[in-house]
Amino acid sequence: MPDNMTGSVFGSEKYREKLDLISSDILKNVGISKGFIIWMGILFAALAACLYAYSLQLKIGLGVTGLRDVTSWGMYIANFVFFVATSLVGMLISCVLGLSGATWVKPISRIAEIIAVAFAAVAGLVIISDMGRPDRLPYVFLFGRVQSPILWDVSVVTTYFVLSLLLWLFPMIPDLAVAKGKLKGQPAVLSKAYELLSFRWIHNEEQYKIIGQGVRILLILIIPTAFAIHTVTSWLFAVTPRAGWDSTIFGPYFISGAFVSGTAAVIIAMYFFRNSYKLSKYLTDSHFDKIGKVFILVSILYIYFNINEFLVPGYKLKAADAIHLRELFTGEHAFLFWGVQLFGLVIPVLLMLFRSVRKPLPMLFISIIMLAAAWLKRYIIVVPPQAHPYLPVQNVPVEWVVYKPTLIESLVTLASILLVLIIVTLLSKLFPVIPIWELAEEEAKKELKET
Amino acid sequence: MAACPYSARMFHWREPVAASQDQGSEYNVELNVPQKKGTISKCLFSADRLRDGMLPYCVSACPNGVFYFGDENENAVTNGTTKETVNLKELLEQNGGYRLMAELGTKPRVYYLPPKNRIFEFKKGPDTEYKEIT
Repeated sequence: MPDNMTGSVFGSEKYREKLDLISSDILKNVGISKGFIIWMGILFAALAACLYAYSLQLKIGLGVTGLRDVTSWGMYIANFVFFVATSLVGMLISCVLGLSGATWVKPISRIAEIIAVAFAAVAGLVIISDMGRPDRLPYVFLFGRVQSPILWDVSVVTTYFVLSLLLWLFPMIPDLAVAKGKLKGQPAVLSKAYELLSFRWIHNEEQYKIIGQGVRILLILIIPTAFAIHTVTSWLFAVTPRAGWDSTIFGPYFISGAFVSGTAAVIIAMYFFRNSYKLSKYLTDSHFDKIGKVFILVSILYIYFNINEFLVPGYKLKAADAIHLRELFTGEHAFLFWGVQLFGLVIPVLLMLFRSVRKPLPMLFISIIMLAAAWLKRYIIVVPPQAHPYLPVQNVPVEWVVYKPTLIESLVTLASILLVLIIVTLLSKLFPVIPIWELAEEEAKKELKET
Repeated sequence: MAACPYSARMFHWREPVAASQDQGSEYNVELNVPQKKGTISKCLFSADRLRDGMLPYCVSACPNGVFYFGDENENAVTNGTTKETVNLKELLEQNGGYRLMAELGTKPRVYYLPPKNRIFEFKKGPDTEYKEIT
């Protein structure tokens, strides 16, 4: 984002030159290609199968899932928390790091926004998959009560999605204006979309000034919204009096965890964009090194909150907490719990402390493992506390108590992941994934200063 | 569902078995019928009976007379079997009445009386463990 609007940069010959240079690099791989069609074909075919599973759930009822009266929140809610969490990275990269003046995030800020938009959009759909009566969704808005955390959640998730979408689109307007004449062999629809979305941009200095201010306002607005969405998501649990959820640090605990899963998602996206769209000139090893350091920082923060979340009640061992914690530490969920904490958090952080690990390929592996662990961590947060309600569960079939996700449920969950991949592919392949004008501005500024 | 610490609610995971008998009728809040797939139910203390000045179904049906029901404001509860009405406050005070998890602050208005004067030996039943029904 232009922090210093000197004005001279955008009018300079140097800037035009850089704009041409960078745009020809970036736009080479933008647009519909054979690989894109095959990849989208696979995704949509898989999505169709998953939607069939959802149609069964609609017809028969939520009984097709492993959910029952005792464990009434399962994979769907865990998945929802994971999606909201991952979407938070847009705020971390673009807003927190961007506003603090870290210029190295510029090439990856749009990637972070794509992740934010895709995950926030699908998070809203994921919650519908857990509804017994999805046809009553409008009632949330029509008859919603302000006392209800559900209403808070729906409001902030939609707000965050809209703001993230704006932050993705708004700074891209000049790029689209540059790109609209340079697309070759692409369907007319795409150039029409570019034409429409570039809003008659003419590279006027006044326009650059407005966009600079607009982006800045968005960046500032997104920070409290992002904090709100994940805090409210954590409150869905923390406002209930259940052991395992009844915690005052759930807000920051969730937000720090969100940074971990989001950073992992961005690194995975960076790796694949760099390879498939031939962007190693813009997404350099140094970027992986730097985001690796960010990853270490947010992970250590999350480890700190984990220690607080488990050690403090683990020391007191209040009766209900003790039952829950025993299940996690040594009981039924111990394997999952320790696996996630050690292999999905502690060991990767220790590995990333070595400079040689903060390279693209090792970072990709670490990020995939940590992202998977982040998903499982949400599962651990959501499911085990319900198996031991305050009142004893008596004389019911074991499958009413012990939650086991069914195939249908897993397929519906898979659908959400496929949808994210579809949105990420569309946004990254059909539009420039690296901010062209912002990099041109930066390089032009640098060179003008030297001369 | 997840928020109730008393596990006092149930969800219609599939089409409710008795849904067809009330089909087409307007939803009755007091009876919770017709039942619908994908919605939640909980005990309403037979609100329809209360409106007619009768005791809830479970209270009048219990052969052992373990349930008392009444209005806390009137300070009177009636046993469904013996039809005996007693002073609520006295009943609770004299028999060590208590509430479940009152410390959670949900202000429950279901009171329990601890067992006394047992006439047969007490066998320990299922306690905190759930049993598999085969």
